[in-house]
Amino acid sequence: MTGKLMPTYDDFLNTFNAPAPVYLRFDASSAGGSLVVLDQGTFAVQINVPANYVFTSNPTVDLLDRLAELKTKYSTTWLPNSTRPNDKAFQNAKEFVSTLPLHRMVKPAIHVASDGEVNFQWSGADFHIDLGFYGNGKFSFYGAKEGHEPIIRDGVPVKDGIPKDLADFASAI
Amino acid sequence: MPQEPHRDEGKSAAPWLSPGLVQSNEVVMRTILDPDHLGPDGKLASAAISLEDIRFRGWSVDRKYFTSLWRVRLSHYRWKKKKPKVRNVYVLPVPVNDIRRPNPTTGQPDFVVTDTAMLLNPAHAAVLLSGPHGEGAARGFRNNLLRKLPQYVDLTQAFGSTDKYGYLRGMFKQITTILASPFRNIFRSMSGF
Repeated sequence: MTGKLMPTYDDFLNTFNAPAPVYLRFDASSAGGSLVVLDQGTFAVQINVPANYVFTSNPTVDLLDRLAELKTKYSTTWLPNSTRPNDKAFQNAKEFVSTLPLHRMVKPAIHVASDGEVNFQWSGADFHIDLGFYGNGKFSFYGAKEGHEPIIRDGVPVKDGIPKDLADFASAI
Repeated sequence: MPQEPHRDEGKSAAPWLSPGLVQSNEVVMRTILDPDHLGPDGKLASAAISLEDIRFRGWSVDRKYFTSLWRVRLSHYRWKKKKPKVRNVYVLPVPVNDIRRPNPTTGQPDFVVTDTAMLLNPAHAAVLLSGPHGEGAARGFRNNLLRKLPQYVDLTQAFGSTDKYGYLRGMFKQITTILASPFRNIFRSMSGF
């Protein structure tokens, strides 16, 4: 049996083959690739992509890469009277990134301040979030969004992650 | 906890070196480093102003009236030499009046601008929160300050042809102040005359 199943995008062609082997094939013609899902008792997934295909970036990996870049860049004191961020600050920031619901919120910009803070900043047309780490296992933040009361908190344990009400300010949905 | 900073705009932090208190009609300048202080959109990042500075140490600025293009250029040159990865150096010329403008909610200014003149740097001033605040609240004030700041500009755009003698003016005032102060004997003994 060959048939077309619920095409979501014009450039996707979904094909179902039966009786055996049973597989589901997604052709992403615009990207020049395809995804084949095989059902032969044990489940198998086969993905074909052209060699020059660029995968959509992963925001978590992007942020971890940015932290690694900053850690190298600020490994020495960079200005007179400045303090370089300690390793713990970067470690706290990394742990925090892993708790961020990046599937539903925009990605922050990350910078280092001259007092050793690893700073996360979200900015949009109607919201602003300023959050940072000094390496004491905690973070503080200020969040403001039009039509909402600002949210301010100090000494939040890193393991608690970003509070939901704050994440909602930077919602990407 | 760091020592409580000097927040009194009516007094200089170093009266024996001061060219005078910071007036609201003055302009202060802050150096901006690209890319360290700029976000991906080219706007100032929150991290361009450290919390430690606005809470305790004072965010260092130069009073334009008491400095000169060559003096600021020299310090930029030194910074670039120390940190070759800096792409560009800009300045942020900020009217003191804007920094001191009262918060519409409280009716009080969030920040003070104090004279913190240093020996051979009479233009030095500091921007500080007008009172003690926690980290999270300081972030909010930092955000308010960032919104007040004008666009950063190239150093040459910040100075006009009438600004040539700012540093000399500052040094003249500083020397006059030193000579008039009770510390003059110390400086005399240091300089050997």
